Amino acid sequence: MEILDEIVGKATVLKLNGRLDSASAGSLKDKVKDCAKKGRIHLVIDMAGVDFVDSSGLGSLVACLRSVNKLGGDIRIAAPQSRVRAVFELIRLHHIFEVFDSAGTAVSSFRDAGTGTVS
Amino acid sequence: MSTPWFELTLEFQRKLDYLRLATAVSRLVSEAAAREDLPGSLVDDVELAVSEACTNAIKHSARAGGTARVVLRFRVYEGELVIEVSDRGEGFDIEKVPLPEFDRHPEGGYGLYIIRTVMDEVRYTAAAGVNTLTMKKRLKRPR
Repeated sequence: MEILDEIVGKATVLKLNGRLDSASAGSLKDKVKDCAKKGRIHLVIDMAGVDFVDSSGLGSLVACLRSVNKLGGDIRIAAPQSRVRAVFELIRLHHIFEVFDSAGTAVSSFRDAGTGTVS
Repeated sequence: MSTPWFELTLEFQRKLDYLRLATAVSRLVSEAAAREDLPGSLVDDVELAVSEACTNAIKHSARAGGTARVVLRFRVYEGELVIEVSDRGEGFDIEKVPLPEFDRHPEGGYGLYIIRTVMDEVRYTAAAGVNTLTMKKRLKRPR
């Protein structure tokens, strides 16, 4: 899986391309950890380019969310394809992640409101 | 049971590197098995179930040692796709696997729940040191 990052104002957009599964989950965790070390804890995960997820991949997102929440940050999800959104909702992650139609609106949400947390 | 239209067996080392191969083969098989009148989600459902099952098998067989392998077998019958995922790990009692604790949003433990949701029938057997998860998907649209 390819991960591109871009700083947009207060937020960092991580644009994922490919498959988010047990084989690629570690690289996402490493990337988020790297961002956190640099103080970049307001993250938008742009999933428009993700064509497959499984529970291991989404589990890594939960781990990332908890790690940045501890630092006072948040992760927001942008533009998941319908297939990806279906798995996301199947395991009920839409209750802990805010999901936006585009990376732009997700970035704007960090300007408009505070951060959420998950225990 | 009748003779399958076709069958395919893939055996690979317990490495997540092979997950992409396993899921790609699952798409090819289910596309070949599916008919035009089937819901488009069938191929996606099978791919997701195979990813979950193979990930579990790779993790379980990891405890069995470095030479352990995972066997993924597809059989396509009239009206049914049967997929078996076998490993030589510790195994588990499928009846004792709880539902995920959705309210706590854990990082893992969703695999079997997902498989049971997207497939029509799921069984698990352990015999002679081999654990086999059998998943079935109907290939006919309900009337």
